[in-house]
Amino acid sequence: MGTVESTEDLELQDWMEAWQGADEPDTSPLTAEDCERLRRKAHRFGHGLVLLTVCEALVLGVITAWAGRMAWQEPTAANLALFAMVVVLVIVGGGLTLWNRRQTWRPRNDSIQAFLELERLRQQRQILNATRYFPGFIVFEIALLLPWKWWQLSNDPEIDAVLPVFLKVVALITVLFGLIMLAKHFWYRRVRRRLEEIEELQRALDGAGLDG
Amino acid sequence: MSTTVYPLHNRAMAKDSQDLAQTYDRLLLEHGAALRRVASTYEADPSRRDDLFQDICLALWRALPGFRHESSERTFLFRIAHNRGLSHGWYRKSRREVEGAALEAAPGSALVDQRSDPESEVVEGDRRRRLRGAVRALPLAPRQILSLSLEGLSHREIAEVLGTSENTVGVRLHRARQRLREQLQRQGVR
Repeated sequence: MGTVESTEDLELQDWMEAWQGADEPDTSPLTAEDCERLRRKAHRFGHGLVLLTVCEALVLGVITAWAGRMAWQEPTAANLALFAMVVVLVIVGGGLTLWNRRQTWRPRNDSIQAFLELERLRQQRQILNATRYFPGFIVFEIALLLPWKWWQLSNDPEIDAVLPVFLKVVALITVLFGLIMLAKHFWYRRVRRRLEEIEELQRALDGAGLDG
Repeated sequence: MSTTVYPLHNRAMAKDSQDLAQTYDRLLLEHGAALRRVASTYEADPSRRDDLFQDICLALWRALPGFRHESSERTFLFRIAHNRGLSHGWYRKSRREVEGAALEAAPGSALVDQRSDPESEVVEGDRRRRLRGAVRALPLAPRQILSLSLEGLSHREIAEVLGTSENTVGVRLHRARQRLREQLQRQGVR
């Protein structure tokens, strides 16, 4: 046994020497200045994303404020209902987004397993978002807004004139929703493939793929 | 397993930028060649390999302020390098593309250098390239563990880098060596 071990050790030693032998031309590494410049650039991109999120929050805030102002100035049942719906939609939409991003901000440590797990979670959440949360939220939104709009219109004396417009709006929403879902379907397949690849790597690293 | 902290506060508060630059330069001086070899296990194409190496350098620079010396510098570096290698692999069309190009170690393709015994250097260089090609042709798990072992990392250090146990490393390394042996035999090199 000892002989086998020492033979293996010699073999490993031999491989290590060959492995570490420098026969490839050295690539100049990035200098610290280059790295800092690139980091700042990426940081600015990160700021851009924060700005985008702030803008989204502002738009939602403005819509909520607009509905609230209408309900405050003209407290009809329709306006109050609209305000309540907007508040519900903002809370549900924002809550879903944050819920779906939980544990995906950073790896739990910096090991390869943790890195893979983070990537897996991110892909999985994107799929969840594409297949459940996004369509579910849109259906929920339409289910709230269309009956409300219909109820509001039915109290309008000029219903006959407004009805065709309403139906066109419904058709437009349906077509748009269908197109978005179609695009999401193709995008989902790509994410699905990546998720499968990550899971395969995880299995290999877990030891299940010792032979593979 | 490492528990490196990711600071939320400004990096300027964490470390003086000059210290950071000095540490970065020192790490690359000491471990740059090893990081290049890590890149070579993920990418056979020389120009893409250079890109990957630069990516690793940038990732190191970004991660450096968060390094708390709770693990060794070596394991810290290899974790970064392998994580970048994995990401790099995902953006490639397929692993076969990488592996197909991996066995580029054709005899005679060696760069002849000007050392004292050019003939033996060519033979040695050829052998090294075949070894790297054989490692690169292995599936990811044995490839990672072998490359870490060939860099001289202990089982404990490899376990730290991969986020697994020392026992698992022992078993997997044994199998990985077996596979490498077979791969080299197929290439006619021991």
